[in-house]
Amino acid sequence: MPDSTSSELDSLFDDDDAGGESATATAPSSSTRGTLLRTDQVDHARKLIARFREGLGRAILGQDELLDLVVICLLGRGHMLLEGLPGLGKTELVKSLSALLGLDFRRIQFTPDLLPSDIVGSPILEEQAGGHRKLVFHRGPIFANLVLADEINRASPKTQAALLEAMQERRVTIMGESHHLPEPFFVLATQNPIELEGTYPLPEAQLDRFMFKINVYGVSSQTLQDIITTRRNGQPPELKTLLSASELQQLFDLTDQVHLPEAVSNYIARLVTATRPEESASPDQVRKFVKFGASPRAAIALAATSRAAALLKGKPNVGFEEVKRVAMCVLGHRIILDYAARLEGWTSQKLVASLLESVREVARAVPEDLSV
Amino acid sequence: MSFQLWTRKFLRRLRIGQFLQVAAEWLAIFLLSYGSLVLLVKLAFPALWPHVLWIGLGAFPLAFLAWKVVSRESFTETESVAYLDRKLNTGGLLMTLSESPDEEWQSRLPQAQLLWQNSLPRFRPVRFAKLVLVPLLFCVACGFVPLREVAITEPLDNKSTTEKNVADLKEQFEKLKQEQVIEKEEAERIERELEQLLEQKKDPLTHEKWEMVDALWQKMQLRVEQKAVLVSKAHQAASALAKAKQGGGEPLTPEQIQQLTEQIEAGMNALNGSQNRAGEGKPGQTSGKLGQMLKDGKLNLPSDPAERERMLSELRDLLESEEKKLCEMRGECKNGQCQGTGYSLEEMLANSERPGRGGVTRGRGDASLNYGHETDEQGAKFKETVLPKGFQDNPGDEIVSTTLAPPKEEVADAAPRGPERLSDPSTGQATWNRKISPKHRAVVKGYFDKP
Repeated sequence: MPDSTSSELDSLFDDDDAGGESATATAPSSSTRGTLLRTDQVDHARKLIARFREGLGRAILGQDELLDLVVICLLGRGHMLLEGLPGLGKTELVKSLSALLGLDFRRIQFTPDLLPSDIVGSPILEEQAGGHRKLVFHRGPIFANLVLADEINRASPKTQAALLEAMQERRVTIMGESHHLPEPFFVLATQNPIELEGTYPLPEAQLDRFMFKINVYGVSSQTLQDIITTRRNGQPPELKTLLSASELQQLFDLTDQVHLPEAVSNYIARLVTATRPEESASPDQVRKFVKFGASPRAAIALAATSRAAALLKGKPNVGFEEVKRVAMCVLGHRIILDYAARLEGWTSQKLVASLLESVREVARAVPEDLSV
Repeated sequence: MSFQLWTRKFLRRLRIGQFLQVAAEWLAIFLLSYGSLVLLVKLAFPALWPHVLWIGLGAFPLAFLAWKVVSRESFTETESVAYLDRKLNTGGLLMTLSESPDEEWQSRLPQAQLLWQNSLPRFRPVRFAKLVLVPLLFCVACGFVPLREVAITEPLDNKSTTEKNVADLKEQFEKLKQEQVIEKEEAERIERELEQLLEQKKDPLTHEKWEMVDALWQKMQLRVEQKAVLVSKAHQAASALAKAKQGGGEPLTPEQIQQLTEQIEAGMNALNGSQNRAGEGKPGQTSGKLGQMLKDGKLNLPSDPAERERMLSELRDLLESEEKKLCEMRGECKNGQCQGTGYSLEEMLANSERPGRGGVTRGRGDASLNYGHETDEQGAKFKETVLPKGFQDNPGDEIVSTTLAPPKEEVADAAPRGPERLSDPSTGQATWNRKISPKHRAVVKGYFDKP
């Protein structure tokens, strides 16, 4: 990872009482909860994010909301699954990300004959000096900061499962030896919802490891016109690194320091709980259509990405609107629907939308004799 | 004003709203119960009115209890701040500052006081009014329900009619016996009849018994009346004689003196039974002579004018006192004034010269019509009087319950009318008059046509 730090940036993370300890050294912990970000810290973070976001916008045209969500997921240090029709720029988006971040990037094209060892690497018998032979581990393409798993659903479940440990534990174990993956580590996977012959749907366990699942939609005609007039053969402009590794780390730290008010955390908890059909307080449609609700990992992801969304907006705290903004991407792929939902035309997205309508931001309703 | 003050105000209003929510439900239940209780008391237990109204004060502890419950489960400060944050559209900054105060960020909060003021919840107790109004009206309406009057406030007299009437008869009989109004033989006969009635006191009072009781009563009243008339006549005769002897008024003819003497003697005979008692009660020679005279039943006045006058005076006093006693027995004394028997000496003397009375008249029709015993409340407005308390006719019956509700009318089953009359089982014509469906007629006809 490139190592570029500036004294100006470091000064923003100086703790008055700590006497000049750098922010990169300050681990986000519960003890930091209760201390708000300073306005200059927030402004600086906003500038960095805006710079990065602008670079992304030059690479991918007309997908502002998608790019915002990608930035949010990135700041939340989560893996991302992009789903959309071919040719919408999914792969291009990931390549642009790697170019702008200046991180180590690898691309894996998932095919049915892909083996786990093709991803994580494998030990190879090598002849050492002195004539004796030894098994030496050769790292696979997963040993990178940014891994593009293109068309992930085309690989067999065995190969898909090779990503499980890497995505959650950020390490790979081969023949009893664990190898840590570089920090930061992101898996950006793509899949398209058509041509399902010969594909293997991602298992729930793996889906749950993706912080965001973002549906990529087509762009407007104006955007299309811009693309064909400004780009030859659709080639994006040359991208330079806009965010160094240390700046990215500072953004991660700032994101962790964004305050999550008690009422909002309560809202997140109730929202996730409401997705479970076994809960008596869940709405009727959940009890009727949902087979399995969201896991605690979803609540953690909601909190993390809400913090990132708040920072993107230049706020030192999370509000209810940030939670609502990311809820669809976090919960949509974590809710497993029953067959009845398919019969009645309910999708996860529709269900999450109805949940956002039915779950109150504040647990207790205002008395009827008051008008707020 | 710092935002903490506004959040506290917001929280206070939320709690008041919550109190209104809880109190409305409790108050509605209380008012319904209270109204029902008032209604129950007014209709069934009027004696408890108006003490039942004190229960209305129970609304105050109820409100206090509701406030306590609300305080225990009320909105938290976090919730109140969340609502205020949402209302002010501060995007969670207010919630954050309430948990982690920061002056730098606090300056980003809205500064206009009016904005904070407008963000406070407003009271619109529509639900409260909806819930409480109907029970309150019910309660007020119950208060206007008239109090039911109790017809029977005293316990029923458990004596039977026979017992009661016989007791009255016996009381009257004892009085008459004591005053010796009734002769010995008759007294024994009446006593036997009374005992006979008493033996049958547990039996229902039949009309024969009523007649027997009435006959006994009339018999005793008759005896009193007879004696009262005789004594009254004797008293007036004695007075007239004494007056004539003193020389006052017109002189009496010998026939009139004879008539008066006979009346006095008749009265003395009537008092014959009590002569000893009268004699014993009056010491002195005159009293002894009067006693002897009463015993003999003859008016033997002494020749000495002074002695004669004193004796007549004693006799008159005696007759007067006896007349009063008898008058009291007859029950005609009102406020200590006895009405008398209606006998008039002047009338007697006036009629003394007419046929049948020693005088010449033009017949019975010539007698003047005098309407006696007229009521002194002639033309007075009729006033309601409370009837005497009731009594049981049959002592064997026990009071199962006393109800203040009007008796239930059990309407007898009316005989069916119209078309139902023919088929109703009570008419006894249901079987033979049953209609036969056309599709069954052939079967029925075939059955009866069988040889």
